[in-house]
Amino acid sequence: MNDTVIEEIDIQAPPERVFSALTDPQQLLAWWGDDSLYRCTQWTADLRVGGKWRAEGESAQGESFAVEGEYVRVESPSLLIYTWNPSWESGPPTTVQFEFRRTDSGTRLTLTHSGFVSETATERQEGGWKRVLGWLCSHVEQRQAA
Amino acid sequence: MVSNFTDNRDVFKALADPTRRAILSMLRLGRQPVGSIARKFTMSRPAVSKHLRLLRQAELVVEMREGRNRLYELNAKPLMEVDEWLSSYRPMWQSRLRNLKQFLETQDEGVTDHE
Repeated sequence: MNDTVIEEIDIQAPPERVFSALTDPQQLLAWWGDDSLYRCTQWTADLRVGGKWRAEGESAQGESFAVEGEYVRVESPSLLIYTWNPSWESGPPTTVQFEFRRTDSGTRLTLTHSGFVSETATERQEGGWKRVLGWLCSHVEQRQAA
Repeated sequence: MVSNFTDNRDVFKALADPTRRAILSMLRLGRQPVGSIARKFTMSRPAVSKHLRLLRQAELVVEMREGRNRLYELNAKPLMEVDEWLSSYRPMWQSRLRNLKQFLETQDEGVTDHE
Protein backbone atom coordinates (compact mmCIF):
# COMPACT_ATOMS: atom_id res chain seq x y z
CA MET A 1 0.00 0.00 0.00
CA ASN A 2 1.37 3.36 -1.03
CA ASP A 3 0.09 6.94 -0.91
CA THR A 4 2.02 8.20 -3.93
CA VAL A 5 1.38 7.54 -7.59
CA ILE A 6 4.53 7.69 -9.72
CA GLU A 7 4.53 7.21 -13.48
CA GLU A 8 7.31 7.65 -16.00
CA ILE A 9 7.24 7.93 -19.79
CA ASP A 10 9.76 8.63 -22.55
CA ILE A 11 8.58 11.06 -25.18
CA GLN A 12 10.32 11.82 -28.46
CA ALA A 13 10.07 15.57 -28.15
CA PRO A 14 12.25 18.13 -26.38
CA PRO A 15 11.32 19.12 -22.79
CA GLU A 16 10.22 22.57 -23.98
CA ARG A 17 7.52 21.05 -26.16
CA VAL A 18 6.38 18.59 -23.49
CA PHE A 19 6.17 21.44 -20.98
CA SER A 20 4.15 23.52 -23.40
CA ALA A 21 1.76 20.62 -24.13
CA LEU A 22 1.14 20.32 -20.40
CA THR A 23 0.48 24.00 -19.80
CA ASP A 24 -1.04 25.47 -22.96
CA PRO A 25 -4.87 25.16 -22.77
CA GLN A 26 -5.24 24.78 -26.55
CA GLN A 27 -2.90 21.79 -26.59
CA LEU A 28 -4.31 20.34 -23.37
CA LEU A 29 -7.77 20.28 -24.93
CA ALA A 30 -6.36 18.29 -27.82
CA TRP A 31 -4.89 15.42 -25.82
CA TRP A 32 -6.18 15.49 -22.20
CA GLY A 33 -9.03 13.03 -22.02
CA ASP A 34 -10.01 9.55 -22.97
CA ASP A 35 -12.91 9.31 -25.42
CA SER A 36 -14.22 6.11 -23.90
CA LEU A 37 -14.31 7.61 -20.38
CA TYR A 38 -14.42 11.40 -20.52
CA ARG A 39 -13.54 14.40 -22.63
CA CYS A 40 -12.46 17.90 -21.76
CA THR A 41 -14.49 20.82 -22.96
CA GLN A 42 -12.64 23.71 -21.42
CA TRP A 43 -9.19 24.51 -20.05
CA THR A 44 -7.98 27.72 -18.50
CA ALA A 45 -4.51 28.34 -17.13
CA ASP A 46 -2.90 31.35 -15.53
CA LEU A 47 0.60 30.00 -15.84
CA ARG A 48 2.58 31.58 -13.01
CA VAL A 49 3.29 30.64 -9.39
CA GLY A 50 0.05 31.21 -7.50
CA GLY A 51 -1.95 31.32 -10.74
CA LYS A 52 -5.03 29.13 -11.13
CA TRP A 53 -5.85 26.43 -13.64
CA ARG A 54 -9.14 24.71 -14.31
CA ALA A 55 -10.33 21.91 -16.55
CA GLU A 56 -13.96 21.15 -17.27
CA GLY A 57 -15.36 18.19 -19.05
CA GLU A 58 -17.98 15.52 -19.43
CA SER A 59 -17.90 11.82 -18.69
CA ALA A 60 -19.01 9.28 -21.27
CA GLN A 61 -22.29 9.10 -19.33
CA GLY A 62 -22.79 12.84 -19.79
CA GLU A 63 -21.97 13.93 -16.24
CA SER A 64 -19.99 17.12 -16.01
CA PHE A 65 -16.90 17.43 -13.84
CA ALA A 66 -14.18 19.93 -13.09
CA VAL A 67 -10.66 19.80 -11.74
CA GLU A 68 -8.86 22.90 -10.62
CA GLY A 69 -5.77 23.93 -8.78
CA GLU A 70 -3.00 26.40 -8.36
CA TYR A 71 0.48 26.48 -9.86
CA VAL A 72 3.13 25.92 -7.19
CA ARG A 73 6.28 25.76 -9.34
CA VAL A 74 6.50 26.82 -12.98
CA GLU A 75 10.05 26.23 -14.20
CA SER A 76 10.06 25.57 -17.92
CA PRO A 77 11.38 23.22 -19.17
CA SER A 78 12.34 21.20 -16.10
CA LEU A 79 9.65 21.31 -13.40
CA LEU A 80 5.91 21.88 -13.10
CA ILE A 81 3.98 21.48 -9.85
CA TYR A 82 0.33 22.25 -9.25
CA THR A 83 -2.36 21.40 -6.74
CA TRP A 84 -5.15 19.04 -7.74
CA ASN A 85 -8.67 19.64 -6.51
CA PRO A 86 -11.32 17.57 -8.31
CA SER A 87 -15.05 18.28 -8.09
CA TRP A 88 -15.72 14.59 -7.39
CA GLU A 89 -13.65 14.44 -4.21
CA SER A 90 -13.76 16.34 -0.96
CA GLY A 91 -10.86 17.07 1.33
CA PRO A 92 -7.73 19.15 0.88
CA PRO A 93 -6.16 19.28 -2.58
CA THR A 94 -3.39 16.86 -3.50
CA THR A 95 -0.21 17.70 -5.43
CA VAL A 96 0.76 16.81 -8.98
CA GLN A 97 4.37 17.17 -10.05
CA PHE A 98 5.93 16.81 -13.50
CA GLU A 99 9.68 16.51 -13.88
CA PHE A 100 11.21 16.88 -17.34
CA ARG A 101 14.62 15.35 -18.03
CA ARG A 102 16.33 15.77 -21.38
CA THR A 103 17.38 12.45 -22.93
CA ASP A 104 19.04 11.47 -26.20
CA SER A 105 15.67 10.73 -27.74
CA GLY A 106 13.75 13.62 -26.20
CA THR A 107 12.29 13.81 -22.71
CA ARG A 108 11.81 11.52 -19.76
CA LEU A 109 8.69 12.76 -18.01
CA THR A 110 8.09 11.72 -14.40
CA LEU A 111 4.72 12.30 -12.83
CA THR A 112 4.27 12.19 -9.05
CA HIS A 113 0.80 12.53 -7.56
CA SER A 114 1.05 12.83 -3.78
CA GLY A 115 -0.36 14.43 -0.66
CA PHE A 116 -3.29 12.08 -0.11
CA VAL A 117 -2.31 12.04 3.54
CA SER A 118 -1.26 15.10 5.46
CA GLU A 119 1.31 14.51 8.17
CA THR A 120 4.12 16.40 9.82
CA ALA A 121 7.73 16.16 8.68
CA THR A 122 8.67 14.13 11.76
CA GLU A 123 5.88 11.67 11.15
CA ARG A 124 6.98 11.31 7.57
CA GLN A 125 10.52 10.54 8.71
CA GLU A 126 9.31 7.88 11.07
CA GLY A 127 7.31 6.24 8.33
CA GLY A 128 4.25 7.38 10.35
CA TRP A 129 0.96 6.39 8.88
CA LYS A 130 2.42 4.10 6.23
CA ARG A 131 3.71 1.77 8.90
CA VAL A 132 0.27 1.79 10.47
CA LEU A 133 -1.33 1.06 7.11
CA GLY A 134 1.06 -1.84 6.72
CA TRP A 135 0.14 -3.56 9.93
CA LEU A 136 -3.54 -2.74 9.66
CA CYS A 137 -3.65 -4.36 6.26
CA SER A 138 -1.91 -7.46 7.50
CA HIS A 139 -4.37 -7.52 10.40
CA VAL A 140 -7.30 -7.57 7.96
CA GLU A 141 -5.69 -10.21 5.81
CA GLN A 142 -5.07 -12.44 8.82
CA ARG A 143 -8.69 -12.10 9.89
CA GLN A 144 -9.96 -12.84 6.41
CA ALA A 145 -7.76 -15.90 6.22
CA ALA A 146 -8.94 -17.15 9.63
CA MET B 1 -22.34 6.00 2.53
CA VAL B 2 -19.68 3.36 2.15
CA SER B 3 -16.69 3.34 -0.16
CA ASN B 4 -17.15 6.74 -1.76
CA PHE B 5 -14.34 9.25 -2.09
CA THR B 6 -15.41 11.37 0.84
CA ASP B 7 -15.21 8.48 3.24
CA ASN B 8 -11.78 7.57 1.96
CA ARG B 9 -10.56 11.05 2.75
CA ASP B 10 -12.00 10.63 6.25
CA VAL B 11 -9.82 7.56 6.62
CA PHE B 12 -6.71 9.52 5.70
CA LYS B 13 -7.66 12.31 8.06
CA ALA B 14 -8.21 9.80 10.82
CA LEU B 15 -4.84 8.18 10.24
CA ALA B 16 -2.95 11.46 10.01
CA ASP B 17 -2.90 11.93 13.78
CA PRO B 18 -0.39 10.17 16.07
CA THR B 19 -2.86 9.76 18.95
CA ARG B 20 -5.39 8.06 16.72
CA ARG B 21 -2.71 5.81 15.33
CA ALA B 22 -1.73 4.91 18.89
CA ILE B 23 -5.36 4.05 19.65
CA LEU B 24 -5.56 1.82 16.59
CA SER B 25 -2.33 0.16 17.64
CA MET B 26 -3.78 -0.60 21.09
CA LEU B 27 -6.91 -2.09 19.56
CA ARG B 28 -4.85 -4.45 17.50
CA LEU B 29 -4.62 -6.62 20.60
CA GLY B 30 -8.37 -6.89 20.82
CA ARG B 31 -11.42 -4.85 21.78
CA GLN B 32 -11.10 -2.53 24.74
CA PRO B 33 -13.40 -0.49 26.95
CA VAL B 34 -13.26 3.25 26.39
CA GLY B 35 -12.03 3.78 29.97
CA SER B 36 -8.88 1.75 29.57
CA ILE B 37 -8.13 3.42 26.24
CA ALA B 38 -8.43 6.85 27.87
CA ARG B 39 -6.19 5.87 30.80
CA LYS B 40 -3.26 5.26 28.45
CA PHE B 41 -3.18 8.92 27.46
CA THR B 42 -2.35 12.02 29.46
CA MET B 43 -5.00 14.06 27.64
CA SER B 44 -8.50 14.59 28.99
CA ARG B 45 -11.20 12.00 28.55
CA PRO B 46 -13.27 14.27 26.23
CA ALA B 47 -10.18 14.74 24.05
CA VAL B 48 -9.78 10.97 23.76
CA SER B 49 -13.50 10.65 23.01
CA LYS B 50 -13.12 13.11 20.18
CA HIS B 51 -10.35 11.01 18.65
CA LEU B 52 -12.51 7.91 19.01
CA ARG B 53 -15.38 9.69 17.31
CA LEU B 54 -13.21 10.56 14.30
CA LEU B 55 -12.03 6.97 14.08
CA ARG B 56 -15.65 5.81 14.26
CA GLN B 57 -16.69 8.23 11.51
CA ALA B 58 -13.94 6.84 9.32
CA GLU B 59 -15.23 3.37 10.23
CA LEU B 60 -11.78 2.35 11.41
CA VAL B 61 -13.25 1.37 14.78
CA VAL B 62 -16.60 0.00 15.77
CA GLU B 63 -18.30 0.85 19.05
CA MET B 64 -20.25 -1.82 20.90
CA ARG B 65 -21.91 -2.18 24.29
CA GLU B 66 -21.31 -4.90 26.81
CA GLY B 67 -23.45 -4.30 29.85
CA ARG B 68 -22.62 -0.81 30.99
CA ASN B 69 -19.31 -0.77 29.15
CA ARG B 70 -18.64 0.83 25.80
CA LEU B 71 -16.08 -1.20 23.92
CA TYR B 72 -14.07 -0.34 20.84
CA GLU B 73 -12.96 -2.79 18.21
CA LEU B 74 -10.64 -2.31 15.25
CA ASN B 75 -12.13 -2.42 11.77
CA ALA B 76 -9.45 -2.24 9.09
CA LYS B 77 -11.71 -2.81 6.07
CA PRO B 78 -11.82 0.87 4.98
CA LEU B 79 -8.09 0.70 4.34
CA MET B 80 -8.67 -1.80 1.59
CA GLU B 81 -11.01 0.65 -0.07
CA VAL B 82 -8.44 3.40 0.24
CA ASP B 83 -5.92 1.18 -1.44
CA GLU B 84 -8.33 0.53 -4.31
CA TRP B 85 -9.07 4.23 -4.61
CA LEU B 86 -5.38 5.12 -4.92
CA SER B 87 -4.89 2.30 -7.36
CA SER B 88 -7.54 3.84 -9.59
CA TYR B 89 -5.37 6.93 -10.04
CA ARG B 90 -2.58 4.87 -11.59
CA PRO B 91 -4.36 3.76 -14.81
CA MET B 92 -5.79 7.27 -15.14
CA TRP B 93 -2.32 8.86 -15.27
CA GLN B 94 -0.95 6.04 -17.41
CA SER B 95 -3.56 6.60 -20.08
CA ARG B 96 -3.16 10.37 -19.86
CA LEU B 97 0.61 10.20 -20.32
CA ARG B 98 0.19 7.81 -23.25
CA ASN B 99 -2.14 10.35 -24.86
CA LEU B 100 0.41 13.11 -24.31
CA LYS B 101 3.15 10.99 -25.88
CA GLN B 102 1.00 10.16 -28.86
CA PHE B 103 0.00 13.79 -29.26
CA LEU B 104 3.58 15.03 -29.23
CA GLU B 105 5.05 12.29 -31.38
CA THR B 106 2.47 12.33 -34.15
CA GLN B 107 1.98 16.06 -34.55
CA ASP B 108 3.91 18.16 -36.98
CA GLU B 109 6.48 20.34 -35.19
CA GLY B 110 4.92 23.63 -36.28
CA VAL B 111 1.36 22.78 -35.26
CA THR B 112 2.00 22.40 -31.54
CA ASP B 113 4.42 25.26 -31.19
CA HIS B 114 2.43 27.92 -29.41
CA GLU B 115 5.29 29.67 -27.67
